[in-house]
Amino acid sequence: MATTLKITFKIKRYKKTADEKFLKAPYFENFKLEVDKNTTVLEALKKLKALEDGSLTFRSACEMGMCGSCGMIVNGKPVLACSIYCHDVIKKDKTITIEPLQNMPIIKDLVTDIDDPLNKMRSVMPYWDQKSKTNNEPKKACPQTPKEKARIDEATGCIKCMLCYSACPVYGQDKNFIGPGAGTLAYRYEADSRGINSTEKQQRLDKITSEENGIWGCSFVGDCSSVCPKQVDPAKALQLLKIKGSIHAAIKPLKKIFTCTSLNSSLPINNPTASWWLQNKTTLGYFLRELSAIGITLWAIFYVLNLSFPPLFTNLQSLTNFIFWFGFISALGHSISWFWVGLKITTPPSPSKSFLFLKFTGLISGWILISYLLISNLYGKF
Amino acid sequence: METITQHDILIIGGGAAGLRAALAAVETNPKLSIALISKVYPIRSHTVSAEGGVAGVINPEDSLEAHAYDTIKGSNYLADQDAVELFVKKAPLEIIQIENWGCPWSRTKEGKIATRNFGGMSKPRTAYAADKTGFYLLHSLFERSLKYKQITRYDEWFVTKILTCENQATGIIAIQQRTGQIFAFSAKAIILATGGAGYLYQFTTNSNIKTGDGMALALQAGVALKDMEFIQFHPTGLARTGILITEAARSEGGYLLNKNNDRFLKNYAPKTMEMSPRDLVSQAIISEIKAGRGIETPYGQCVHLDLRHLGESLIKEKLPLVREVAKTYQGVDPVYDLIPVRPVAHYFMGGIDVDLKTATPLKGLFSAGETACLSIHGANRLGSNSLAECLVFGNIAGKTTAKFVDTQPQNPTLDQTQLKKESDRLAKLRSVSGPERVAPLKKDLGEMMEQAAGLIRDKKNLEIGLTKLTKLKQRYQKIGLSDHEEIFNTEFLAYLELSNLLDVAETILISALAREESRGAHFRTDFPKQNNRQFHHHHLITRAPDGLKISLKPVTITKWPLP
Repeated sequence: MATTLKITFKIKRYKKTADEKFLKAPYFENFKLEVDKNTTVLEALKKLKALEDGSLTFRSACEMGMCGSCGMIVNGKPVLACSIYCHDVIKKDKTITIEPLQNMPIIKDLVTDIDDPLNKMRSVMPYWDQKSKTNNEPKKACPQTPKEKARIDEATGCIKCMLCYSACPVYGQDKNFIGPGAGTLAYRYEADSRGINSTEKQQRLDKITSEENGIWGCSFVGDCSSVCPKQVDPAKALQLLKIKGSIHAAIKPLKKIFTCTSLNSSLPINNPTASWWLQNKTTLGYFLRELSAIGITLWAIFYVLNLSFPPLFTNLQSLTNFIFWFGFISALGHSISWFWVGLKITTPPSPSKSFLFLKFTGLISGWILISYLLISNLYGKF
Repeated sequence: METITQHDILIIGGGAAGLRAALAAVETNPKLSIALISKVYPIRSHTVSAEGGVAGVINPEDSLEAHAYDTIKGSNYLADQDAVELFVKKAPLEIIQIENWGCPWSRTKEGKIATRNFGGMSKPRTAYAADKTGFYLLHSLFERSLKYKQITRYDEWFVTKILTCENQATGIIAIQQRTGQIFAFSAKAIILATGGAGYLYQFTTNSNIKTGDGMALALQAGVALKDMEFIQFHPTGLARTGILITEAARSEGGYLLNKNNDRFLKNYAPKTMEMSPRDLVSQAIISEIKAGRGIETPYGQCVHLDLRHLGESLIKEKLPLVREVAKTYQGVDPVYDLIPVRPVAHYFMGGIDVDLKTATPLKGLFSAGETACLSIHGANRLGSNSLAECLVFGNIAGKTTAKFVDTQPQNPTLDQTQLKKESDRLAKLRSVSGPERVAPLKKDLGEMMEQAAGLIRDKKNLEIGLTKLTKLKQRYQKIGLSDHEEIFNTEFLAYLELSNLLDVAETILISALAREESRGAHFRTDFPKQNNRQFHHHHLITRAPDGLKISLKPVTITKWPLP
């Protein structure tokens, strides 16, 4: 027997007139409706629209959880209204609260504007063109084993319902953050075995690793994954994307030097981007300065590791000696190149005196510290 | 409506056919400006609900001839055979094209696109992506369309009229839902890709957005609709909601069982059993129910779909959506339980009459997808031919229009009196008042269609249906709206859609009444036999000043004569 319950629906209403003169804050309106246990929240809304108030506005299309139209917040949780039964979500006082999705502008009642998330999805370039394809060649299906496909199975399931954007606290704070949905879409095209040679790959990686509106805002709260109606797990996709992004950011400068199409252009002198340091003496100076800084850093790491008592590497005397001398030469090279370059740097337009003083004292004290450590290690404490 | 937006091509409808047409047009000529107008966001289109797969000859042991023959045989020889030949030739190319764009097809162990059997197909030739093929396809197409700046999307715009001038389509009038304002568009070519009108029926697999808008628009513009009496009833809709349980469930080995747990199809189609064409399976289910061997449920008589013997791993890999919807919407888990199913309105074989280049007789108006009728499906469509049709003819429509636009030096000027008339009409409709409401009228229309033009039809019921329709139309005039806002007025939209549904319903009833035979999906109890001598032709239905008029069109036959 189908039992029915009389439920109070507390629905958030919002209307604005076309001339936008009479803006009124969203308010709650109560509706009562008798529903049986087979009634979804969407069906209840449709009944309310038909019987109670024809102006009650919400989106709906497929009513089987595939199209993603009817995303709304029911009892505080973003859900697809067509996949949730009234009897399952009813509160103790026999009410159900229905609100529009968060973090996006409301157009009317439960209808929100999803254009910003959708534009973010567009910005990650969810498409590809394979590089070495001529037009005359008949098109062939690109092979992909079930194992390779399994890597994107979760991410391809995204129906773009935007529930994750409603749940994401980071997107709520900062609309520049690319968001879970677009991140998942980027990951889906990054991880697909077929897109390896595509021309868009670099641009997509540049985009997602960019500081302004990339993926780094994600603080792994995981609300996106817990509300996802299709078990897509955007949080996981974003973390995997962070790994891909870090590798990309780290090897991008090296790639510029080594991945050149022909031998001739692979020579740094013929490749303007790879040979920036060979352009003139100043650039060479910069290059040597940065290179020697790496040497000092390596020595510093080694020194810190060796602070333990007894020192970690005491029985590797030759290595220890080598590292010390390496550090010493680096420091020497760094100081020479620093002064070489530093002399040629034109003073920036009117820096404040306190800034100059800070810079000077910082440099001097740094140098004293490094010199003391170096010398004390080489010749013993004095 | 002071400004008129100009584009080269207007595509109305953002489903598989519309998106494919947009992509084809922009890739044929990147200089074109294309508008993609849809009453929902394209990713919400009903293509997402297609499940089974896309038919196309991609296996070496298969042949184009075989695909063409299966399609024609399945159509009860009502398909135009030149169209079918073109269709089967292009279908494999489309499968590969979509693969190249990133569609995640299911794969064989060797990494090739996997295929499965489908009803009425003699070989496995249905490429699939689990049981969410339509969803993956639509999203792949949509994501691809994001590449092109030339495609301007008008999401949530509803088209109310096609403007014509001297037998040429010149533009459209559309409502922007977000603001409620009315805009005019002028274009050199217009493609209608708005899908079918499955929402006409109370019990349907279709979204509530499938309201036959394109068909009604074309009919109003004076273009003929073809074979409207042929409406496919899918054998396996979930008993309570009508949500589609894909044919793939049977192709992967599922059984249909009656009350006595018999695979009853052995009495109807012993050779092909569950993999028979859909018209046959649906009618077999109805016969079983009539013979008292159906299963009583709160939602009416049903039969059972049995997937239990397939095992959890196969269901998880190949039929995940079937399991998901059966659990969510019917409360049964197909791994352990039987699924109650019954035939449900699913697909319109008929539609706007177009030629092989997807052009209608009205210059500048084209159509593709379910809303068009070439016809390749004839009296009954084989499963998985429809997604293929959307891709193949969407592509052809895009290419044809791109070339057609080149022959047009400039955008046609719009007829100002027509513009004025339409905007006045809409303004008047927006503030109608009366005792009737949209929702109950829609419900009555759905029930009337189930009774009059359901799976089983006869003269008496069809005539009753027509009388009821006249009354419904009278009631439509008395509808009052309770929402008078301009911004996102869904009640007003439903009111306009209902008018389209009423128009389409009339064409169905009239064509069904005229076809005094049983063929494919059109089953008349008073004429249970196929009558090739009198009725082997298409029905064209056009609007005349004194109502709808039926004319006949011969079926094109090339290699496969009537048996």
